[in-house]
Amino acid sequence: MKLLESTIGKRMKITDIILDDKTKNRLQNIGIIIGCEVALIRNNFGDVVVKVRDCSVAMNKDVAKGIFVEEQL
Amino acid sequence: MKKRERQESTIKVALAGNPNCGKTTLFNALTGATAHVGNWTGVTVEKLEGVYRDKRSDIRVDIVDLPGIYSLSPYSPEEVVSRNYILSSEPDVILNIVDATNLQRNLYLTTQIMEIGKPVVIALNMTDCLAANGEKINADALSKKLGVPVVEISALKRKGLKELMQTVKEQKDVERNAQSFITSDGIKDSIEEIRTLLNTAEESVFASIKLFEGDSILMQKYDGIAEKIKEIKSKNAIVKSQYKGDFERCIADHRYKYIESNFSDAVTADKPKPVISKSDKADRVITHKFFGIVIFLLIIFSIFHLTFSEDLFYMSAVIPDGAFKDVNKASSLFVDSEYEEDEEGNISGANSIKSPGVFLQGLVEELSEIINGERVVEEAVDEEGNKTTQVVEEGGWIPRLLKDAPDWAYGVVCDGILAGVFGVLSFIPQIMLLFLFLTILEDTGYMARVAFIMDRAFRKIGLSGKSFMPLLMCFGCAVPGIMATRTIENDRERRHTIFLAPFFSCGAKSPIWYAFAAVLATGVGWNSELTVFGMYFIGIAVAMLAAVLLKKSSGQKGVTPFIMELPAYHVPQLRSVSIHIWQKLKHFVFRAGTVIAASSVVIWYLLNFNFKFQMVEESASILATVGGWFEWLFVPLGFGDWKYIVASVTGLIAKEEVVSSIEVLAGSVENFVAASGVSTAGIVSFMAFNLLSVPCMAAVGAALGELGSAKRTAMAILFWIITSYVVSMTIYLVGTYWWTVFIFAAVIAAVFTVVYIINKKRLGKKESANA
Repeated sequence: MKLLESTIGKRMKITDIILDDKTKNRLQNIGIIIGCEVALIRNNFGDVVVKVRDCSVAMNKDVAKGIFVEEQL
Repeated sequence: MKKRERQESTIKVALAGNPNCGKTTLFNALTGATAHVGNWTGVTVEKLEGVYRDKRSDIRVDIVDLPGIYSLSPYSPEEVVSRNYILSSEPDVILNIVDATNLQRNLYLTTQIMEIGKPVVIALNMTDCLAANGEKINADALSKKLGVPVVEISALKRKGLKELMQTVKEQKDVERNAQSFITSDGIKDSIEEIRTLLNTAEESVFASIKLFEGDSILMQKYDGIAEKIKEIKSKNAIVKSQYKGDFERCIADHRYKYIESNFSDAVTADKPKPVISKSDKADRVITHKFFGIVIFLLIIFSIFHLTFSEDLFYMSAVIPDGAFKDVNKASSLFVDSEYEEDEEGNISGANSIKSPGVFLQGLVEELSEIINGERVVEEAVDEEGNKTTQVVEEGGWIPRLLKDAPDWAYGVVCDGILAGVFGVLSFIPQIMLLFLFLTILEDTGYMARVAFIMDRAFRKIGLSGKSFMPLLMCFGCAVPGIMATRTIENDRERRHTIFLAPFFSCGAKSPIWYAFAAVLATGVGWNSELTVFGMYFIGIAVAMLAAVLLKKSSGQKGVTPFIMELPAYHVPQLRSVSIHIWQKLKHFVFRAGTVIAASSVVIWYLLNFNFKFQMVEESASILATVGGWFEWLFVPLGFGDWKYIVASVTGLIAKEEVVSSIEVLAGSVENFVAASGVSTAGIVSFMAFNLLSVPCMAAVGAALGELGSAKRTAMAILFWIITSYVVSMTIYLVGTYWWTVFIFAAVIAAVFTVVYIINKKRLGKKESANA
C-alpha cells in the first residue's frame, strides 16, 4: 500500500520507491531505502512528515506518493 | 630549510559531517571563531578556515569547516564544495563529525569517507544529548569495528576537544589504507574489476565504487574507459535481478546493511523508545495544515509588534486617556506622554506603553540629542541698531564645542558626519531586536518546520519550501539570504529566488519605513505600525506576483520535490544567539562609523559646494544640478525632486544611507518631506521604489557570486529597476487618480495573459519535441 494510506504513528516497512533517480538518490542519502522502517507523523493533504532512523524528515506529496509500504509482522 | 620546518608543524584538518551535526559549533569552539550556527540544514554554504592553537605545543592546526553533506554523491552546489575539498590533496586529516543521536544515518557518510586513503578521526558529537535521553554509546566498540580512532566530544559544552586535537595530531602521519565496506562477493568483484582499469595512484577504492554507482562527475573524468565500465556493470547479475538494475540503490543498500548489522546495538537505552517523541508531538501541532499557518502568522506578527509598536499589546484600549500625561522625561521613554486636548478639555492620547523596540530606539535618540542636539541661536536687532544674539537652545555637546568654529567645520561635523551617523544608529536597536527574534526561531529548529508548511504555498508560485529559508533570511540581510540559495538544487528556482531576494525588506531598509511612517503618522494620521507592516506586505505581494511571472516566462514545468530533515527542537543556545547578534551589531556600527560617516561627508560637500568649489546655497549645489538632470524620469513616480533621487542613489552604498542622506540634506525626514511638497501617494511610491529597486552593492555582489555570470546579474538589475519603477508608478498614479486603478488592472491582466499564452505554446512545443 501507499505510505500516504498508512496509519499515523504506526511503524511500517518500505517495500518500494518509485521515483526519478535524483529524488531516489536524495532519499537514499538521508537513509530512506527499501527495507527500512518508517512511520508517518503528519499528513497535510499528502505533504508528510515521517520518522526514519530516529529522525524526522519532511517531504511533499510528489515524493510521498512514490513510497510504498507494508505492515510489519 | 626553514620553510620546510614550518610546513612540518602544520596540520590541515577538514571537518566533514551531515548537515546540522555540529560542525560549525565545533569549528567555533576550536578556533575561537564566531561563524553563524543555526538549527537547520544548510547554514554553512562555503568553506571556512580557522586555526587551532595549543599553548603547550608548537603544532599549528588549520581547520576547515565545510557545508554539511549526507553523502559524497553531491546533490546541490554547496555539497560539491565539500566533496571537492575532502577529495583534494589539501587536508592531512579528515575529521568526521558523527551525531550520536542519529548514528545510522551519520555513519552512511562515514562508510564513504573511509573509502578515501587518508587519516580519519571520528568525533562523536552530542553524546551529552544521548545521555539526557537515558541512552549510552560504546565509543570503543565503534572504534574497533571501524578501525579508526573515535573521540567522544560535546562541541557545545566544549568537552573532549583537547583530546580530539591530540588524536588528530597523532593520526597525521599514520598511513591509512582506503577501506571498503562493500564486501558482498558479486558486487565486490565488479568494483575490483573497475579498479584495475584505474590509475592506482589516485583514490582508486573510492573512485571505483563511485564509478560503479555511475557518479556523473567521475564518469566525465574517466570518459575514456566509460565503455569498459559499462561492460563490467552490464555483466553484473545481482544488480540486475535484485536491484532492478539500479546500481546506486545496490551500493546504498549494502552500506546500510553493513551499518545495521554492525551498529544497531551501538546505542543502548535504559528503556525502549516510543515511536513518537516529544519533538514529534510538538510537530503534530506545529506542522498542522491549518494551525501551523496560524501559529506562524501569530509569531511573525508578535515579532513585528514587539519591535515596532508604539502601543504594546494594544493596552491603550484599557488604559484611560491621559493616564501618562504628567510623567517625567525618563518615564516617557517607556510610555507615550503626548496627548491632544480639545476645546472642551477632553484629553486623548498619552495612554499607551511603548514596545521594547520603540523604547530602545527612544534611548538612542536621546543619546543623539545629548551629543548632537541642534544649537538654535536667534539674532535680533535692538532699538539702537545693535545686533544681539540670544541662545534659544544650547544644543548637544558637539555643537556647543564647535560654536565658535567656522561655518564649514560646524557643517562637516554636525550636519555631515554626526547627522548621517546618528540617522542610522537610532534604528539599530530595532534591527537588532528583529535579528534576535529571527535567530532564536532559527536556533530552536522552528524555521525548518515553517519551510515545510510554506512549501505548499510556494509551489503555487513556482518555488519550493527550500526557497523559504533564504528569503526569510533576507528580512535580516539580503547578503546571507542570497548566499543561502545555494541549498536550492534546481537552477531555475535558485535564480528566481535571488531575483526576489531584495523584495524582502532587509534590516537596513527598515529605517526608511520607520522614518517615513512617523512623518505620515503626524501628517495624515496613518498608524505607523501598519505603515511599516504595509511595506513588508507590499514587498511580499510583489515578490509573489513576480515569482508567478518569472515561472510562467521560464518555459519550465513543475517544481523540484521537497525533502528536508526536521532537526530536533532544542532550547536556543545563549552563546550562539548572542554571538550572532553581537556580530551583526558590530557590522552595523562599523558601517555607520566608516562607509556612512565618509559618504555623509561627501554628500554634505556635494550639497554645499558648486562645480567651482564655492560654498553655495543648496539649490545651486553639485547634487542639485546633477540630480536635476534626472528629475523628469521620476515625475511619473510622484517624486521628481532631486533630493529624493539623491537619497535613493546613495542607498546603493548601503540602504541605511537613504535616511542618513536625508538627515544631511534636510536635517530631518519631517523637514525633508515638508520642504519638498511631495504628496502622500508620492511618499509611498518613494518608499516602494527603495524597497523594490536595486539592493545595496554588497547584495548585488552576492548575487553576482551566486548567479555566476555578469549577464545574469545584469538581467537581475534590470529586473529590479523595471519592477520598482512599474510598481511605484502604479502606487503613485492610483493613489492620486483613483480611477486609474482600472487601467492598471487591465494592463496587469493583459501582461499575465500574454505570458501565460506564450508559456503554454512553449511548453506545447517542448512536449511535442519530446514525443
